[in-house]
Amino acid sequence: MNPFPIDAVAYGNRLRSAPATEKILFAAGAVALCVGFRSLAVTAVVVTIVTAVLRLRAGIGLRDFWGFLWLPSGFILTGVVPMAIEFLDPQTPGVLAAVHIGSWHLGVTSRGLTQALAILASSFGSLSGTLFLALTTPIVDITDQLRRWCVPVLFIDMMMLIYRFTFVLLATAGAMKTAQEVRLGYSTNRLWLRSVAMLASNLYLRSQMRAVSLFTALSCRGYSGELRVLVDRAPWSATRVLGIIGVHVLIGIWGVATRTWGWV
Amino acid sequence: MAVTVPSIDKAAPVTYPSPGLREREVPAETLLEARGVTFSYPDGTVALNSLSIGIPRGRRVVVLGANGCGKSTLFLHFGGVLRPKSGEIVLDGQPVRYDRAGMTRLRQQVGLVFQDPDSQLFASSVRQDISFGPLNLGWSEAKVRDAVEAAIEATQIGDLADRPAHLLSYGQKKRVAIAGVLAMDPSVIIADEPTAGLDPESTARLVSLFNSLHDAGRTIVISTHDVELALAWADEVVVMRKGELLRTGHPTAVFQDPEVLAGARLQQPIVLETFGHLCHMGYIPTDAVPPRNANELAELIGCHCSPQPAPISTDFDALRSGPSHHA
Ligand SMILES: Nc1ncnc2c1ncn2[C@@H]1O[C@H](COP(=O)(O)OP(=O)(O)OP(=O)(O)O)[C@@H](O)[C@H]1O
Ligand SMILES: [Mg+2]
Repeated sequence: MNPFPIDAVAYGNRLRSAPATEKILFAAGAVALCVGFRSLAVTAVVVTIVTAVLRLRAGIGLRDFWGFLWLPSGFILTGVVPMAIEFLDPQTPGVLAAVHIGSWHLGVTSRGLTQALAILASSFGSLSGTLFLALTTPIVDITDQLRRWCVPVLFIDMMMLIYRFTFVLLATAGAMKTAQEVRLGYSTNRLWLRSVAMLASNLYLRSQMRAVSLFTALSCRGYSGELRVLVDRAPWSATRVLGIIGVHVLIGIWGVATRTWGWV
Repeated sequence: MAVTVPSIDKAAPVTYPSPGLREREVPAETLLEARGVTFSYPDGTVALNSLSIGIPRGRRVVVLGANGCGKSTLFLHFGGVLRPKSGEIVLDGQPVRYDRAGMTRLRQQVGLVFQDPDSQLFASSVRQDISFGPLNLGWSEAKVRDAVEAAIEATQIGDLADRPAHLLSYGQKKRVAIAGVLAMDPSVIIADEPTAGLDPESTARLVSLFNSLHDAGRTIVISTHDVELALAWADEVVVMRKGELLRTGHPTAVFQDPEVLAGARLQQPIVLETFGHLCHMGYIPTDAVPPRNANELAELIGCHCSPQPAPISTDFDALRSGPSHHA
């Protein structure tokens, strides 16, 4: 059982075997466009393309994509809404709407709204770009790619270990919780609190022991401070890479055009 | 021929035939050795007490003993993880040195497989994990690649090579852990309770993997609580008790030594127990070669006891007159 649906999708989707280089390029381009333009129109185009690629190439439907997207989107919205609403002076120009509570003026200005929409556009767009990568590319492939790009080993080692032991720890925690549950550890609120506290402290001790036994086992295979592993060379197709870059450039040109001449 | 069946009296001392010697070859040279090793854990538990054990090259050795007798501690000494408080570990006739060069040599020669595969597998994919050991030996990338592929092939995990460890079953993780040390081309593979928690089929697969590694010239040492497996598989059995060596020898000899069985609180394998009863009851001559598995026992019975039609009456005279009488 995979406790992380994203991880399961990453291993099970149809783009799993596509070269990570291309997927990272596609996702990075999408993020760059959304962050660079901070425009709702550009974000809309990017999200549409991401959704289409996920649906048509990866076999991940709109419903599944949205299933992963709604929770972080909620965070973004709760962050953006207060950003649009501000305290106003009565003289502030460009007030779109306002309420007066006693001597307080609370309202939305066009400047504030533009800013909030810009942040919404860039964060939602980058979210879908990142999610595209997360849903199509297992962490293994990403760390591999980072290794090829000579990202500092310490960073990659940490990523690899955290990824691996998240699952180990989660399995341990699950087993411990079940063991507590069958002995009625969660039957009342009081017991619940006690059991959770015991679980947490035990889990900490377990992790310590895990770390020690991992170190022992690695030493036996000659560990001397660096977790070196073999990385396969990733084949990527020049035409596809050019295609991806082409799409991004086209969106970029369109974005610049709308900004300069105000086409929407 | 009326057969009197003696009652099986467990309390009565049963004399067992002498051990079979057919699989005793010329004495092999000692590959790995513990010489008078004493070790106590920081909390004062004495886990090994001037223990001396030699692992002969090219043999399949099974280490037996009750829980807490020090098997894992001994293995950690062989792997250079723990250092004897007194005594020494000897590899190929040379005492192990605990500096960097000494450790590299020991760890290349001795592949230690831990009981819990989760403590050994760290990388996010199987192939990467297996490549870790050989890369640490400073081999060229081409050589590492060959070693990794060879280990994957030998352990038959080709279909798992690109998977992450968390999507593997327990038995699969065990094979990956073995592949991880095998890729370093060790002369001896030491596995702590490799069959614990495996179903019978996975156990059989693992044993045949060990056999193929043994056929390729490697020495195999495992610990287990499975006495039937030890009897059927081992070339040599080592029995420990409370951090000391109780007995070492051919499995049939060790498992027929009442002192050892009582001393280490070992269960006698059912095959040998049955064999003992059959000898005692006179069905099998007491100088027969003791069987090591159910098949050999069946063969013995087949050789020494002629098949008889199932008795339909207890009238032995009528039975004895048999078919020839009616013909
Ligand atoms: N880390 C440790 N700290 C203190 N004592 C330990 C430690 N590990 C093992 N011991 C003790 O050392 C003794 C030998 O333990 P060891 O694990 O070697 O036994 P074992 O033969 O492998 O047992 P089992 O069959 O249960 O695996 C036991 O008494 C045990 O309690
Ligand atoms: Mg043990």
